[in-house]
Amino acid sequence: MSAVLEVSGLGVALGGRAVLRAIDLRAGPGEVLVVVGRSGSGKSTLLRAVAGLVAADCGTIRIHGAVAADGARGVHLAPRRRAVGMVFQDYALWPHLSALDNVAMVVPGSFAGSRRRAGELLAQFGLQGAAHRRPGALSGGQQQRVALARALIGGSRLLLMDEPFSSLDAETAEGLRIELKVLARERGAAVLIVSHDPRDVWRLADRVAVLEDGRITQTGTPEELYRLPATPLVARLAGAEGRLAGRTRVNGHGAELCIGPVAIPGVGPNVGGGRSASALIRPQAVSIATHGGGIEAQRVTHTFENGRYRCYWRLPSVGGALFGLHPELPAPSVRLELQREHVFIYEDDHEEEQP
Amino acid sequence: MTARAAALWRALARGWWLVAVILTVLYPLGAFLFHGRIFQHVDKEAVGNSLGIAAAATAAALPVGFLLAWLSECRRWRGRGLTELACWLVFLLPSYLLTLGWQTLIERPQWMHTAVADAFFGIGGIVSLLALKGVPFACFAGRATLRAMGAEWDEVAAVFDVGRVRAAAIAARALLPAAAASAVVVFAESIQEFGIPATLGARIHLHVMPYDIYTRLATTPADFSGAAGLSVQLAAIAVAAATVHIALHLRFGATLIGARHRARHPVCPRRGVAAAGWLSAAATLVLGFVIPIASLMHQAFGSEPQVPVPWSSVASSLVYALLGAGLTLAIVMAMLRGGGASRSIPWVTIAMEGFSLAGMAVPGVVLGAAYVFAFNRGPVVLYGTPLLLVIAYSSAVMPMLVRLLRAPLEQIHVALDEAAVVHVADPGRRLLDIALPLRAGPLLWAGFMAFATMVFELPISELLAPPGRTPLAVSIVNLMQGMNDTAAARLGLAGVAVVGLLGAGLVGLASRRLTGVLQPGVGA
Repeated sequence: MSAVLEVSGLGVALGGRAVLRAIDLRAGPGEVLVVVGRSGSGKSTLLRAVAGLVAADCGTIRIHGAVAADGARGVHLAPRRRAVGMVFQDYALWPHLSALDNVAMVVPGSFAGSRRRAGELLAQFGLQGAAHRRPGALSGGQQQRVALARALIGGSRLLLMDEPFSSLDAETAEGLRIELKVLARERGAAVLIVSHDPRDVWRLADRVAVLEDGRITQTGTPEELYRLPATPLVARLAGAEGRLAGRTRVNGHGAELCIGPVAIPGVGPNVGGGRSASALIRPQAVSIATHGGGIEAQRVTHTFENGRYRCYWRLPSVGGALFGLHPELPAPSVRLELQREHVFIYEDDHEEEQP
Repeated sequence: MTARAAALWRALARGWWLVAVILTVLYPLGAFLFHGRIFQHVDKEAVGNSLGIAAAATAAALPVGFLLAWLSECRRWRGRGLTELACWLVFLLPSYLLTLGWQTLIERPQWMHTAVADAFFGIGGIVSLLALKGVPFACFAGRATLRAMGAEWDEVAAVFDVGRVRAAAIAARALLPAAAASAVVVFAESIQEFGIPATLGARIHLHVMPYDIYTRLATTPADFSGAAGLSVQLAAIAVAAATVHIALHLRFGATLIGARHRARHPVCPRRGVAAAGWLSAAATLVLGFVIPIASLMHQAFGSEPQVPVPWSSVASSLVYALLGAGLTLAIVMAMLRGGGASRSIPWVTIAMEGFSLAGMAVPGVVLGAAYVFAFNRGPVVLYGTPLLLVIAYSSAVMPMLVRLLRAPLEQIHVALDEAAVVHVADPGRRLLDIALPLRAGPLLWAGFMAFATMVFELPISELLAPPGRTPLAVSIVNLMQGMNDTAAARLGLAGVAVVGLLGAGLVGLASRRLTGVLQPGVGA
C-alpha cells in the first residue's frame, strides 16, 4: 500500500530551540494516525510542518510520493500546493462568512459552482439548515462539521487535524469520532491527528505515535501500545497509575521491582538487574489475595465508578500507594495481589514529570 | 536578479516601514531636539504657566471623568450611553472650535463686562476649557484600567466579609492607580494643548510652552535653538508623565496575573452617586459640545461675514487628511505585521508600547517644529510643500493608530490567516475575501480617527501650511485672530459637518456589512 504521508528524519527548530528531532512517520490511505503527547511536546509543530506552515530544518516530508519539504535541499512547497485539508484547533472558521461561504471559499473556479458543491457537501454532513449561518451562530459540533467539510471539499487525501475534539462535549466528540473514521475509510484519506486526549488514541487511531520532548518514543497499533508501553508516558496513556520506587531484579519469569522484602513482578523488557526503577500499575492489576501471600494494604478512600469500586490503597510494607478496581467494596485491611501483565517497570533514567 | 538583490528586495519589502519611521519620525525629531540648548533657555514663566494650568485642569477634570469611568465600567448604570456620546463628541471637537464657540457666546453684549467674561478671558477660561477637553481623556484612561481589573476585588471582599473599612481600603487600593493613570493622561494632554493657547491664550498674551515654541519659529528671524530647547523641556515633562503612566500600568497590570477576567456583577450605584454621574455626563455634553456648537451656529447664520469664507481650505484639508490617513494606515499595518511576527522578542513588544505612547510624549507643535528644522535645508527641501504636511500629519497620528489597532488586530487569531494559506489558492481572494474583511472594522475605525484628527490638526498645519493651499485649522485660527468670528464659525461648522457625515456613513456601513467582523474571537 503506497503511503499518503511519509515523514523521514524531520527536524524543526523554532527560535533557536529544537522542537522536533528525527521524526519518522507514515500514514496510508484510509488510515487514522494519532500523534499523542503532552503540551509542549511538539505535536502542533509537527502538524504545521506537514501543512507547510513552518519550514523543516532537516529531513523530508512526502505527500502522495511527491517531496513537499526537504530540509537539506531547502525545498519548501507552499501550503496551498501540498493538497492537504486541515482542521485547525477551535476550527478557525472565518467569522465574517456563512458556513456555506466558509466551505465554498476554498473551491477554485466560479463562485456559483463552488457554492453549489459546498451546499451539497454540507447537506451530506447534515448542515443544510445551518448553511447560511455565520460561525458564531453554530454549535461546537456544527462548527466542527463545517471545518471538516472545508478540509475535505478540495478532494484532499490527507487530512490534518489539530486537537479536533478538545472543545466539544463528550457525546458530540464521540459521534464525530465515528463519523470521521467512516469518512476516512470511504474516501481513502489518510488522517493525521494530534491530540493530548487518550480517548482519541483508543477510540479513533489505527496507528499511534507518541511524541515526547520533540521525539517519537513509540509507534504502533493501540494494541501494541497497550501491551508493551515503551515509556512511563505511554504506560500512563494506557491506563497505568501511581508510582512505586525500588530496585530491579531479573529472573527467569521476567523483571521484578524489589522494595525491601517485597518483590513486585512486572513487564520490563529493557530493564537490567540491580537498577533504581519505578513501577506503574493499572488498577485492573490489583486483586484481593485469597490464598495467603500478597502485599499488606489499607484502604484510605474509595469511590464508586461505573459499577466498580475504585479504592486508594496504602501499602505500609512498601511505603507507597496504588489504585485498585474491585467488583465489591473490599474490607479496610487486606492483602493485595498484582497481575504481572498490568505492572510496568522502568529504570529511573526515564525522566517523567510527576502527575 | 542575483540572490543578493532578491534578498535585499525581500528585506526592503518587510522592513520599509522601519525606514519610513526613521526618516519621518526619528530623523527630524533627533536633528531638532539635539540642536537645542536644553537647559540654558528655561523660560520660567512659560514653564510655570504650563505646569500650573495643566495641574489645575487635571484637578478639575479628574473627578468628573473618573466618576464617569467608574460608573460606566463598575456599575449597572443607564447613563453609560450618554457618557459615551458626551466623551466622544467633546474629544472629537477641536479645541479651537470649542474656544470659538464659547468666545462668541461670552462676547455678546449681555455677557461682556460681567464677571463671567472677566473670568473667561483669563486663566480661569483657559483652565475651564482645558478641563472640559480633559474629561474624555480621564474617562477613557480610567475605563481602560478599570476594565482590566475584573470583578475579583469586589468578590473577594464580599466572600470573606472583610468589613466596610477593609473593603473600602481594598477598593481604594484598586482604584487609586486607575485614577492616577487618568490624572497623568489628562495632565500630559493639557500641557501639550495648542489650540486653546493659540486662540484664547494669544488673546490674553499668556505664555505657555506649546504656543511659545510656535511663536519662536513664526517670528523673523526664527529662533530654532530656543524653540528646540523649549521643545526638549516640554517633551521631558511629557516623557516623565508617560513614564509614570507606564509604571502605573505595569504595576497595576500585575494584579491580573493568574486571575481569570470576568465581567463585573452588575450592581446599581447609590442614588446620589448615580445623580452625580448623570449631572456630570450631561454637563460635559452641554458645556463641551452643545453650547459651543449652538453658539457657533448662531454666530455663523446670525450675521454676514466681514470677509469671504475660504471654503477651499475645507477641500484642501480633506485631501491632505485622506492621503495622510491612507499613508499612516499602510505604515502602521506593515509595522504591526512586522512587530507581530517578532512578538516573542521582548524588546519588540516594549518598543511597540513605547512608540504607541510617543504621541503622549511628543506634542504636535514639537513635531511640526522638527519638520521645519529638518526639511528646510539639505539636498531635498520639502518645506512649504503639501507632501511634507501630509507626511508630518502621518507621523503625528502614527502612535495613536498603533495604539488603536494593535490590540484588535492581535486578537484576530493567526489560525484564520493560516486557514486561508492552507485552503485558498488565489492570493487575490485571500486578501480581498479573508484578510481585509477580518480587519475591516478596526481599520475603518482607525482610518476615520486618523482622518478626523488630520482634518482639524492645528499646530503642524500652522508651521507647515503650504502657500496657497491653507489647511482648514489655519484658516479658522487666522479668521479668529482677525476677529472674523462669523467666517471662522461657518468654516468650522462646515468641517464638523463633513467629518460628521463621513463618520456616520462609516458607522452605518460597519454596522450593516461588517457585523460579524466586529465580533472578534468567533471561530478562533
